[in-house]
Amino acid sequence: MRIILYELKKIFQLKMVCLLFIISFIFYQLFINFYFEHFLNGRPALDLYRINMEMIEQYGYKMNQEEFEHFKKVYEKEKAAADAYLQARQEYVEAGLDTYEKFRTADTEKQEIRELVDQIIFVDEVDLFWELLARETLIKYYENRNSLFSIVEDHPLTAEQKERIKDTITSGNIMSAEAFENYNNLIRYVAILIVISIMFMISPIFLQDRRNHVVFLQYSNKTGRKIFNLKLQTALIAAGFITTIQLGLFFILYRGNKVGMFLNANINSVFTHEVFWFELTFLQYILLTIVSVYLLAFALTIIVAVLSNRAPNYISMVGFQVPLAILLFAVVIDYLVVRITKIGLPIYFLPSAYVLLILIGSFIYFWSVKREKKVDLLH
Amino acid sequence: MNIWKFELKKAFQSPVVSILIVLFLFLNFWLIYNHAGIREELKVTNQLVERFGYKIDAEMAAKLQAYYQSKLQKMNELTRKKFGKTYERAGDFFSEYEYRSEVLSEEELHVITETAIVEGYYELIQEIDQTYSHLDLSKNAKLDINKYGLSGKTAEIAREYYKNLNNRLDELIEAGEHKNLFFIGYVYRMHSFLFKDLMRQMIFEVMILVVLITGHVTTYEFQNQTHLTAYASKRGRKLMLDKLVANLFASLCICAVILGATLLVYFLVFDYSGLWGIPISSFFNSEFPFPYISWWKLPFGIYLSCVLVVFIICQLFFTVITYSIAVWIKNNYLVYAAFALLFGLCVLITGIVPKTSTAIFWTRYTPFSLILNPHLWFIGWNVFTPKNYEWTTAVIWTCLLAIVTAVTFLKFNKEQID
Repeated sequence: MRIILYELKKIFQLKMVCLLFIISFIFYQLFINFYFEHFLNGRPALDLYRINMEMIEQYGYKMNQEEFEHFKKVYEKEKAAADAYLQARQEYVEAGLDTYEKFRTADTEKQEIRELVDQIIFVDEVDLFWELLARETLIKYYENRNSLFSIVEDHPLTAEQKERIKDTITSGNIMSAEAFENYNNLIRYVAILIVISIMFMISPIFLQDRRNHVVFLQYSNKTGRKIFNLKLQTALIAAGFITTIQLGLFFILYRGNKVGMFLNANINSVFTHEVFWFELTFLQYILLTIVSVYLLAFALTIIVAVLSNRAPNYISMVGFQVPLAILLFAVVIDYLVVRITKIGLPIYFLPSAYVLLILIGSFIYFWSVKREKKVDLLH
Repeated sequence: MNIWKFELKKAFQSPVVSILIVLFLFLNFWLIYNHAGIREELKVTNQLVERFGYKIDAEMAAKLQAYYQSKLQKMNELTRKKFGKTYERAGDFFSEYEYRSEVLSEEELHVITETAIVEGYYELIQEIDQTYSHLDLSKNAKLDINKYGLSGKTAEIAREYYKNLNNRLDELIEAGEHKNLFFIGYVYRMHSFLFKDLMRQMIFEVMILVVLITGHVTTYEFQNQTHLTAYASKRGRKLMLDKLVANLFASLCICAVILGATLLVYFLVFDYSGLWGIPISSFFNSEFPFPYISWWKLPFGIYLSCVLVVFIICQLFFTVITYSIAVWIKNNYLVYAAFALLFGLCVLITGIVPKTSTAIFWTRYTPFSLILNPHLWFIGWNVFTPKNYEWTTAVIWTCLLAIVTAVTFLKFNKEQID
């Protein structure tokens, strides 16, 4: 236990922690901050989000046909308000844009008509018109909900996939596509940041000792070669710690995005145009991504630590992690963290991928511990 | 000489360098392979250039029209025989709901595709004058000011910038520089593919290798605890100078291998014969409603060479930057982290300076900002790509790094080594 504490101290040297802090800060500024600052900054994203919220307030987390009719009625009512808005303005009546219907289908090729339309939409940003646009989008999603059958593009649907999509279509679940997309973007970058942090902090764990020739002392004292196992465990503890801190910090910031309303909404929805294998609420989905980030972090830690024990110098250590990083950023994170359990992949893909990952991790762990017991340090 | 050889050996003896080179080349070839599907269609352009030359004038347009008519006629003969139907435009055949490509042999389909491409050229040529007369750069200035939130002095600079660009545009139109055939940018996006996707990927690959090697070679003595011997020898601390030369040479080697192999494959896959003299500002090269306008008349071949020169200069900058950091820090692991941090900071700072200060422009004169958009080098695209941007950056950083290196040497010469 004491050795683990000492080793933890070695990993979390002040110098390294400061560097990690600066790296994280820059990473947040360059990649993550955008999704905090610009969440719902644009239109009609903001309107869609607001209306989704209103729908949940009025209809609960599911919407049936009756409620949809009511939703449409509200739309008609707002449309009438828009008509009144247009008729109250001389220039619009003169240009023949006296009803919302005409306004929507106006020929924007013509200069003066385009200017009138732009005036309302982009210059004055009249809430009513943006809201109408958003409502139209949502109504269209609901009415064209059968298009969900085409979300899997590359191969024909299996019977199970069809079943799941049908369930989603009939469920009438309400979920905000903006909130969901935003979270997916964020968790992708947070996962990348965690991967970078772990690689950065764990890489020197064995290499440092070998380069200082401390390893000869370590292996010839009373604890002896058991220290290898202890250091691996230290690496895992450190990785767990780093991941927890990073995720904790992220979720504290994420609370500012105000998605509390949607946490209990089902993510299988015609409004997000997404179907998953399981009936997950947004909160459950978030928890699932957290679990997968942890598993990925631990598997990565073992690989990095063992690499650190084998690499002859820092150039190899960093160099060999370049392909690993490319693989993780370009492929693995997209399949194992973001949009997990999506319908496009087989139902057994995620469990088997993680079982495989855990198997590979534990195999490398035990193999390297066993190997280290007999390894010749001098040659 | 001998010392340089040994220093270079340190650079290339790690198997990781060769493994990364192979991996990176594989990634580049993979990118090219994924894009290679259009190579047959691109050949039509070479044929047209061979037949009519690339300069577009009334005579050439007339010839092209006649050629196009004969092609269309041939195609219609074919479709009449096959489907009992003729087309006014070859494009109509493909826009039909279910065009019956299965019924056609590969050769017959090729005839139709070729006609459609020639038709594309013929129709686009009619649009050139209209497109360029509709370009209103003062509108672009307004757009940029809105988009980047410029105001006051910076907005004035933006307006001034577009005035300059407008002069260049007038000059370009006057000289007919835009009236040249090239691969149709709207369809094939060859400029973006070569100079953005492929070139940027290569920049980062070479940068990774250069930083790894430079950090390794420079800190080698300290990392292997040979520094007490090496720096006490006759060559002494001048060894650091040899290391710098070896690093620069190693960087050039890496550039040569990655660029050489990738571009060789690129130009074997995509045939540019006959197109090397076509200006990069050609209307057909443009991919968006706003065309690429190079600040000087740059034929494709010269443009490519200029890009390669800037590419190599940037990599040499990265070498010297890493080298200077490494002399100070002496632990190459931290050197890599420091370089990454410097990169991040330099890019970050351009985004957080206030929009009203001119710092928003001059903070971009760093090699780190420069390498982010290789497809816009020497091209007037938005306020952040002024004339001479590339050369100014190169000159400023050459001076800056010369000073930094000199200071580094002075410091290292007097330093206590233990």
